[in-house]
Amino acid sequence: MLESPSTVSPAKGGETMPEWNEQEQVSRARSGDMEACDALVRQYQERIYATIYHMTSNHEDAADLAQETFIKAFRKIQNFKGDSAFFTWLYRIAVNNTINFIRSKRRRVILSINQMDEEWDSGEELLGLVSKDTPQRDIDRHELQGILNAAMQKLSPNHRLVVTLHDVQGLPHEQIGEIMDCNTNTVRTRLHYARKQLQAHLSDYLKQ
Amino acid sequence: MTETDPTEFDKLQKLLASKKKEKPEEGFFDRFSDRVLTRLEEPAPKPTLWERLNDQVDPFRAAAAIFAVVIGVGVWYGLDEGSNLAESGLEPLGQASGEALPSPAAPTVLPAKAAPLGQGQDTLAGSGLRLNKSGAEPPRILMNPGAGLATRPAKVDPSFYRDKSASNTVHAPK
Repeated sequence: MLESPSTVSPAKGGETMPEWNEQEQVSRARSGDMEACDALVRQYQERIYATIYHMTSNHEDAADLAQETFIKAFRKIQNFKGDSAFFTWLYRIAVNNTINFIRSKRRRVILSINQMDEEWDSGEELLGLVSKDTPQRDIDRHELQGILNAAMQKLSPNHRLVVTLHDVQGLPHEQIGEIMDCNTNTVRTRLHYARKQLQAHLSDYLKQ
Repeated sequence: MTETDPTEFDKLQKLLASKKKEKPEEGFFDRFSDRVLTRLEEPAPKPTLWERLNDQVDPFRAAAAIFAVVIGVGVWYGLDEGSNLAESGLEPLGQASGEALPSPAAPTVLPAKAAPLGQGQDTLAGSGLRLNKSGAEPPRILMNPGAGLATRPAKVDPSFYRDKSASNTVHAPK
């Protein structure tokens, strides 16, 4: 069982908590303690939202699906046996929910892209990755984001998920395997093919 | 699998890593938990039959049970068809006249006239079809095809018979 990366980290938002104890929070949430539910939501909301957002490339869908994920998790928390970290279990719910959602609305993909973090001022660095020999050199940072997200949407849900979890969120192969219920080699293979497809879709922008 | 261009791959990784910086509007996460908890306090919608089954039934066991039922129904149907065949009077090969085959345990107790395979009493060899031994004649048309039809003389040009140069010999009617 992989340990949740957040078992000892403080809560977000600048509030100081003495020590984050996931097991205790989960057992309190199981007995209906809303404060514990609130703590668990605050602990994982950003990562769950981000995963769904990078899968759907749509802020409104990601917000709805992230809410549904937590509601489903708390309503079924009695089924959580503790075989894996709560974090992994929560991710699984989010991922299954999102994949079902993507499959149900395969024909209509509407991008609603979030703005880049204002504090992150490396637009020039990002645009520096674009090929100098192509007419697309004139694109701005927002446009580049759109192109990248559109390329992501061309991947199959499983390929998109593995890229999101590994290349965007930085999860290790083992944990992705647990979330996707497959072995590490499958994760590596999917990642390889997903990157190849992305490279093909973005070849005009990435070539030297 | 073909090798990827390391420079291109590095650029792709940097582009993907930059996605981490895409954030929702400010304050979104401050309100998020409240929204979740408000919705959580609302009465849960009644789960559908499918959802209840999904929660309570292990898919592997369900698949095994369905497979067993399908096999069971198949076997039952097969046996039922077999018994219908036996009741219909069409005798299976070598079991003519309702006589049971001799038991291998008592090979000396053979019936007086054991029928050879497919040649049981009143059956066509190999087909299991009954022979017609009732004495009733089949329709005449089957016994003498063309019987009862009026004959008409063929209209032939007489010059045809006179032409002896043809390679085929034609005998003129007397």
